[in-house]
Amino acid sequence: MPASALMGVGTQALFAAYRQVQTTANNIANANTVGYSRQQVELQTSGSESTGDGYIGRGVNVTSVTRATNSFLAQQTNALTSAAGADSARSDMLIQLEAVFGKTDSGLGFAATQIFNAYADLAAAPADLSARQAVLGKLDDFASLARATSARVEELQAQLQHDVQGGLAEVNGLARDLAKLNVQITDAEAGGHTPNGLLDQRDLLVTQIAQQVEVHTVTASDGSVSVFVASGESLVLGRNANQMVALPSVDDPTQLSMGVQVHDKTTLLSRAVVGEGRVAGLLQFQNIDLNNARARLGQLVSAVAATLNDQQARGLDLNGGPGSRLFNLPDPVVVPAATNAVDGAGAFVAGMAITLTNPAALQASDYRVVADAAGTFTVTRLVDGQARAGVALGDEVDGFTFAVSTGAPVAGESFVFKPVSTSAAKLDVALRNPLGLAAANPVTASAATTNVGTLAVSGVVINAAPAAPYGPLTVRFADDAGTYQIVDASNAVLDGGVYQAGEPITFDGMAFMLSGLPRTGDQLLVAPTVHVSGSNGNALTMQNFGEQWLVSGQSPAEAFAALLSDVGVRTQSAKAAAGNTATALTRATAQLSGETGVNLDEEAARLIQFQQSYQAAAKVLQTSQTMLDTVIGMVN
Amino acid sequence: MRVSSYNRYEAAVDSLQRRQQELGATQQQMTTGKRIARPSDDPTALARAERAFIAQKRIESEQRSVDASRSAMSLAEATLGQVGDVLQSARETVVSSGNGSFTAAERAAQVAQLRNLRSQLLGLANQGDGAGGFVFGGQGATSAPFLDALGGVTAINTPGAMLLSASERLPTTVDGAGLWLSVPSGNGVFTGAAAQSNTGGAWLSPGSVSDPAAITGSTYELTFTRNGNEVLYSVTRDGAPTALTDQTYVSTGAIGIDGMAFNIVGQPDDGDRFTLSPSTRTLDAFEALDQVIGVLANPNATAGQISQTVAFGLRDLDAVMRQMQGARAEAGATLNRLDAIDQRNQDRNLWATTVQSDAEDLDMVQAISNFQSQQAGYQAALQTYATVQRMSLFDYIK
Repeated sequence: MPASALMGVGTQALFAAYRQVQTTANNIANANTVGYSRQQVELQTSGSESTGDGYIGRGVNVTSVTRATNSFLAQQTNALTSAAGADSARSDMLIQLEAVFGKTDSGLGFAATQIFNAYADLAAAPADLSARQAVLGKLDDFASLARATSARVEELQAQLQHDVQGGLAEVNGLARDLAKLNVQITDAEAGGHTPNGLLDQRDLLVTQIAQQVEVHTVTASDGSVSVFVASGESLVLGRNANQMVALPSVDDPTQLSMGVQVHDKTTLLSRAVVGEGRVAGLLQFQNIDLNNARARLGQLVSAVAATLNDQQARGLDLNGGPGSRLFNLPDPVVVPAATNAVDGAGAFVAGMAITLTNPAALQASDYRVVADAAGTFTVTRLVDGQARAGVALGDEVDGFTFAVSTGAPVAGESFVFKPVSTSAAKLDVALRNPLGLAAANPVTASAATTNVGTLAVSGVVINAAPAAPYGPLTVRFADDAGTYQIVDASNAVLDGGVYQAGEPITFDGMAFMLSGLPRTGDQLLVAPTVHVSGSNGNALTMQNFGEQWLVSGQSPAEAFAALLSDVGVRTQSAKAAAGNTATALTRATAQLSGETGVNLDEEAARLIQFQQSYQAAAKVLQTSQTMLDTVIGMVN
Repeated sequence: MRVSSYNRYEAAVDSLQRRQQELGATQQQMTTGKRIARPSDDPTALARAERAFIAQKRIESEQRSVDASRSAMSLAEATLGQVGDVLQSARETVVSSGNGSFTAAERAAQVAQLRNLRSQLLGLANQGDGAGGFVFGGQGATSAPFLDALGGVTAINTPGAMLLSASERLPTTVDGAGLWLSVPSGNGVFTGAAAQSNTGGAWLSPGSVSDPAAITGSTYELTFTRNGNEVLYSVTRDGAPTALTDQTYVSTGAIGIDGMAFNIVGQPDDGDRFTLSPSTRTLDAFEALDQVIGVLANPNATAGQISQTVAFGLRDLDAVMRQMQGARAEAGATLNRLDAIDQRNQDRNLWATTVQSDAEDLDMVQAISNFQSQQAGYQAALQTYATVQRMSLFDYIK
């Protein structure tokens, strides 16, 4: 066997060891490079030579340099990156949202309670201008706090829109880069070797896209990777990148949604397939949490303001007239769907309007209203999806009614009704004159002085406007059991019944609260209030609103506490979800980087190993040199 | 499993940061003294604290109503005390006016005294509360509630009492019309009257109730007939004859029928009539005095008229005094009740404060212990990080 063959083996070994040391050095150099995958030199024996003595090895060949990769773990990590992106975006927004609603003495519940408490002071001195001014001040506090709270909620909406647009712009940039990389990788792979650096870059791009929106990847046989969003629309198809866009939602143009634009056609991702990722998390926050908070805030504000306005109208102000409204409560908003018919000028043909009829029954929700063929409507409460079919114009739904305003909708046209959720933004105090507060009741009731029994009046509450102007009435008790008749000034019997202790006697919107027991022939005299400045009946009614169920079965303070606790629970669970997905992502990342990352101790060991290989190979060369010298020396 | 060096450092830094955050959160809790900084820290407890806070504010407001009611009722109680004193003076004056030896001039002095007392009473009835309202203002009065008009004093306020709370009945006024102008007439059960046409010198005593169960509520008429020297009387009940028919009359002798007992004193003439009717709430404190004053001021008044007037006047003044004392007792009872409500409000406020504190305040001992264990954890993390990062194979390659 010629000595040159030995030298060939030595040279190959030296070269292979050098490549190995070089690769190890590169690994060490990139130990802290994000997205870098550990590389290693693939070796192969150079085959063997058949001799009479058997097969003799020819040495080693470097076949390729490969990178450590695990596509299953990489996909899992990308999915978790999307989930963690969505959860942390929602959690971050909720943390901001919960700070919007102050608690205790900076909360709306307190502001509402202060109004009712100020009415208690007004009841003690109904003609006192400073007590009246104090009520106006508390009304103003409530209105301005409602506006400020609403403004901060809307700031979150604006911030969210900004973030969504920024996130999608980032996705678009990354998608373009990815399409370019696809081209380079396809070309490089045609050369036979895998372009490890480019592959690392592409994987990193996919992970960065996944952080914003949930994507799925498919690798084609030419080495290019196509990227699809959650709904199946393609974001990157081989060498071509499409655009993601943020657009107003079809159902409710005040809300943002995202879509994929392929050439000129834009496909919006519906709420159900919005998927994961930071942008999706922001949209989820918008669609669920922010809408809910807005609706709950609006429900509280509308119920309190409308109830106070109604009650104010039922009382008498210091000038003796019925009270004018306390608050300017903005009109409820109706948003036509973008798909509704438009006229030549681009305006919607059909229009609807909402009227609040029963403030205490208002719910914290928006509604989707779809016209059907029969001229009635299907009303779906969006917060819980409860639908009512066959609702006619004028029917009361959750404390409001609706009517056609500009044109009747045709079957299939839909609207989003916002009976309460926009009310807080523009709530304003209408009454500026303290004399205008209706502290007095329009009627006064008293037990006749000739009564034998112990009947006494504890209060009169006006629950509704009267059918006819107020006039004198007499409640006559016919027996000791409390049977009574209500007669007017001309002795005509208007109503009758049996008095039950603890139950008010009600007639024509008036409720007379009585204590004690009537005896036969006793009378309760009701007359229009003469001394308006001395009557505190309506102020007492307002004061008692503090404990009454003004807001769908809750007092205003309870409703606000429920709002706080609702936002708190959402934030708590969002934080927990963000923590959980973050932990899962950390674990998956650790696992993936365990497979693909660089361990410096390992590289140190490899460095020694390959250095020794290099030294050994050099020794082989030296040995073959020595052997050659020996043979040459013999010749000499 | 292989461990990537980069990931190991990242993870270590992450965990250090997390521990620092925890430390920061505990520190914030300790500096604010609150366990809950934001709703998500404990949504349920926050809602409980919020409700308890609002409850305190409602109780504070209720307490202000109680205080307003208490100051009004104290004033009412004091005013009614003065009313009692004035009525007592009036009573003494009326008693002394009954002195049969008084001349018309002497009676005129008594009348002047009575007129003075009457105007004092009217002043007290129109007593202001210092805040634009009136103690006896009832359910509203824009000006003084009692007007001294030609036909007597009239109430121009709305009857009833102004209340500050429907549930607790916190009055800020007294029902003036009911108190001053609707006193039960007579002795509180029945009232007697002499017919205007009477010519004799007999007068009727206020009478008393001998058997409450026998009271019928009917109207009785007693008619005298003179049969020679014998004076007879008959009593009818609602126009129907009774057992007392043609009875022999004895001056000052007690007459009793259906649970009522009264005396007729003096010499009645033939055909003189007296009626006894059920008491009604029609007596007016001012009118009672006016009637006495009217008769006493008449220089031609007969002894019988004066006796009758004094007797009825005293009866009426006693009724008014009873009514005023009753009202004063009621004001006192209201003040007691207000004290009880005050106490109850304090208890409820303490309860609400405790609930709020339980819900949101920090258990300082536990927080300090948490902080210390977190501190120890952080120290350990720092130490292990420092130790682990020193260990590298490169250190041993020489």
